[in-house]
Amino acid sequence: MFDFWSLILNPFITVLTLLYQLFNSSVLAIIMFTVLIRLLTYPLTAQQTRSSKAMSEMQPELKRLQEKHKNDREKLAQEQMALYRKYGVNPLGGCLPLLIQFPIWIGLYQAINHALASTPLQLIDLSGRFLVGGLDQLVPLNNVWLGIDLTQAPQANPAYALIFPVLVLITSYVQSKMITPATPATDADGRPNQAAAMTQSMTTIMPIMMGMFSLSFSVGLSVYFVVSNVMGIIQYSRNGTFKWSSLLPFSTRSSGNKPAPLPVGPSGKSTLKAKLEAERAAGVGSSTVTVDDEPSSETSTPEAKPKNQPPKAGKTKTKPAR
Amino acid sequence: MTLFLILRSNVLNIRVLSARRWLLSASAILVLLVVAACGPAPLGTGWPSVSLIKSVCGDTSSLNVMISYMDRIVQVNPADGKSSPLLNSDCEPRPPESDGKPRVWDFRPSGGKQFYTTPLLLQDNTLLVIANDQHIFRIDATTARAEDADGAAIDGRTGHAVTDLAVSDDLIYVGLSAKDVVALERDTLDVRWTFETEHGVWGKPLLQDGVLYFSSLDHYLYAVDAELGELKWKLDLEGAVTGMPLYANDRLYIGSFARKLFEISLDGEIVNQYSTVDWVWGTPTIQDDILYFADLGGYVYALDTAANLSEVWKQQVATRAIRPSPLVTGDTLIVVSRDHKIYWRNRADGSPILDAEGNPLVRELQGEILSDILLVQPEDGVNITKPYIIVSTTSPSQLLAAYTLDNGESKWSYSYQ
Repeated sequence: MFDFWSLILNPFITVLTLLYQLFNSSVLAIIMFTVLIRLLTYPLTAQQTRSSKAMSEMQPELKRLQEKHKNDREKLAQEQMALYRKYGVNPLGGCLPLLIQFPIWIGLYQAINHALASTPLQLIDLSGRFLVGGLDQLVPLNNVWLGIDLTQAPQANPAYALIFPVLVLITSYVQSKMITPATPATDADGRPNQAAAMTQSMTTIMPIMMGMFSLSFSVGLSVYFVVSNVMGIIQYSRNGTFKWSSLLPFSTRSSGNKPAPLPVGPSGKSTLKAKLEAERAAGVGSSTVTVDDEPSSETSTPEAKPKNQPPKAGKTKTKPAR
Repeated sequence: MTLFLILRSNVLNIRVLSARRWLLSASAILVLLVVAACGPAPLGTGWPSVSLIKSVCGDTSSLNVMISYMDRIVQVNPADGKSSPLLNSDCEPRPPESDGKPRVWDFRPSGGKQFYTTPLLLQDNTLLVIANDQHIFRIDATTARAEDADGAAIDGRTGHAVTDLAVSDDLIYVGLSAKDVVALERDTLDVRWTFETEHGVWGKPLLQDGVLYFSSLDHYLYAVDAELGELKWKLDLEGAVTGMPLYANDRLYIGSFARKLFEISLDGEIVNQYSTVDWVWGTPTIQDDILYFADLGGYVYALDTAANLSEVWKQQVATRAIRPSPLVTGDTLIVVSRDHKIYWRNRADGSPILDAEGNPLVRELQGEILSDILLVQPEDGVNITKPYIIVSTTSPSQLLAAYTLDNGESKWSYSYQ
């Protein structure tokens, strides 16, 4: 069989089997293989992370522009493009690397599934996929590790195999907290931020779903999920902007990924704040900006705060038009 | 998971973009979804097991095609491809259901049990079948009623049953994916002995002269005393073995994933071997001392057993794997493949048999064909005028299809309703 997916699957299965030959362990082979693929795709992931981070940093300025040019879409688009150029950001720079990585990750997942070959159809499908001679004798891979059959779901294994769904859940949760962009709990106009609410709930629901799925997936795939998540955690923690305390359930942040400090101007104030003050002095119209990270002695103007709205995350400064 | 989160973070981040950017982003996501949708589909577990069963009711007997697949076992009339009617214990058709539909032979136990093995017909008109979760059912071949609706579990064993049962006068032999072969008392299903290998047993055991021969994925062929379960010998075949050995002329013939077919003496010595292009899964078949078999690369072989397995011919017939044994009858050899096709070949040299227009006689079905080929003759008591071949696919929308043996004329098709 030769198709598009064979181009990805066959080398992956071959490498995975070679690693099995090297370590004589399916688990070690899966771990090393996942690490290898994550390292190979690191440049793509890093680019995506940089792009995502820059987009987070730009959020306050973007919001200000939106507010400022809400009645002039063309002007808004021009200003946005200028801002992207200023930050050196391609708005789609975060998505394109994903498109490249996606087939690779599907291939990784499928390669593990194929190589473990828990069913007759999977074993038949393994034939002809090795690109290196001499691997036939290794088939089927020894899929028992510490008494756990890696091709079976945790329920079909000893009770201690249930640790894998738990690990999947925990690592998925940590990674999702790290990867989710900082979004204020309320919009600029004080209304609850639906995107933030969705982010918050998905950050909780997705790991639970993954944990549930892992109950029915083979343990070998859970190993892959755990290792992949741990690699993601390591990668994102290297940014140095993540607050581990935000993992705690009583954390007040809407998400754990803290944006980097805003660019600082020559006066020592953030460039954004400096711009705002300059605009205020110049009599530019209303500006509503959420600043997440900057201490300020100013407080919200009670008159401008909409009634019956929950307290805003971050400090909101509202400047009525003069 | 990671992908989803990253994608979501990007979507959230670009929510302030212009409509044009949104369009571009949406296009990118669409491409992503298309790529995902075109990804390799998850593979199923197995394929239908099909067999011809001659059940007896009163003074009459009838030949039916028995299919075990997914969560049910059904009977089909080989003459017209219609579901066999369900009879009562007096051998009369059961009255139709309240909505007027006729009652048909269809066994579906509760609990979503999966079936991938062929039922065995015992002398008392009872069908013996094992589900994938190794529960054994005894089903009346006429009334489709099971003695125990939930089946009987095998004591203390784990793993799945993916291969057919073998029986002796007093024992049932079960190969399990969790390394072992279990001998059960035929009447009580109590375990008499178990024999552990180093890996799963996916090939049907062969019982011959008091010796049970079976293969294992651990690369060995085992010969075990059928009554006592004691090892007589084991032989390394250099690769995983999934087939049942063929017994002929006091020799055993079996292929392995070492890309070889072996001729083995009954005391466990390799007499001859032949190298193939790809892994050999199915059991060979023999006719007039010529051994016919196929490999998973789509090649078909004819070897002369009287001349140290010398090659008579070798042909690449299909583009994908050929799992089951070729059907050899008269001057015709028929093979089926994962490429959804049935191929008619000349037995003498493997060349294609041509149809009336002078093209190779090939028929294409809707699903992969991995099950054994059945041959039905008019003299079997079936209301047909010419011999039929019946093949089974993995697609429930064309589970069975019948063609005339001589010219591949389509006769009927059966789907799961």
